[in-house]
Amino acid sequence: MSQTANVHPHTESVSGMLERFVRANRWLLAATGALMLTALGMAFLYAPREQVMGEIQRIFYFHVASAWLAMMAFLVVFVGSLLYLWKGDRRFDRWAAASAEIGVLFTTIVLVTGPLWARPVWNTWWTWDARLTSSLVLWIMYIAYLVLRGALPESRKKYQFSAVYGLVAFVDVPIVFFSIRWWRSMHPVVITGKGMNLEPEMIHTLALSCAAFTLLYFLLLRLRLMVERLRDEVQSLQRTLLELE
Amino acid sequence: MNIYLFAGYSFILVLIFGYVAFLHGKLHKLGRELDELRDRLREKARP
Repeated sequence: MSQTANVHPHTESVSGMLERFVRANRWLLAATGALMLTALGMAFLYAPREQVMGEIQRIFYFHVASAWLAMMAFLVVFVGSLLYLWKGDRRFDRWAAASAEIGVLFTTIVLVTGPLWARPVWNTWWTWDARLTSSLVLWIMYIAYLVLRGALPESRKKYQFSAVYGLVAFVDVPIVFFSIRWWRSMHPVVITGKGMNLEPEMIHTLALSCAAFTLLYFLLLRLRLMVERLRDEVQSLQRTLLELE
Repeated sequence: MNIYLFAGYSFILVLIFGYVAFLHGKLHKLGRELDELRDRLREKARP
């Protein structure tokens, strides 16, 4: 066996990796696609038209599901960071990095669809309401996490620093969730102490949208983790080359 | 259809599909880098 093969035995092409990814995740892909299409259909055809807000209220199903996905993603950042600090295994840091990017993406969706909903209902795009402000702060905090990760050179120090930041940033997640209970807010409260203040058809549509977005999260996470692993492999080969030169 | 509703759902779908396309592109870019590095390593390892 050659020296190269000894140092880096994994030589599968990216196309091969993607084919293997599709084969390994075919059921997850099919279920995500089917649930997304069903949720979209239910949001427009099954859920009733809200009497006060009208048609625009239908944005609610994917707006809340995006927020749900983002919270789940940030929880994975928190758990990954905690496990990295505890075990020191780079795998957990990769989970945190991949999940933070997905969380930021879906928080962006929340922050764009929210004002699109607010404009016809509140007659303003934005207001410095507790829920809106804490969500914006959350988005900025995780963007800063990604910027910091990108700026620091690959080292154990970077992973440790990112993990500590990942733990601290998570403090804002419960603040976002409870902000509409702790402070006076214009934002609608979906889950109250007495349950959900919605028609049964609306609850079904919301539940299915959240289920579809949960599957989508796992699919995106697996794809994003492939990027992280490949990047590690590139960096490892670059180090080997430097040592040889 | 309500213009805000259309804009909202379009944005969501464009962002999700755009992100998948971005990851796909990133994977191929890293794959090319990896192939180049492997070639250079093979050359170095050649006696």
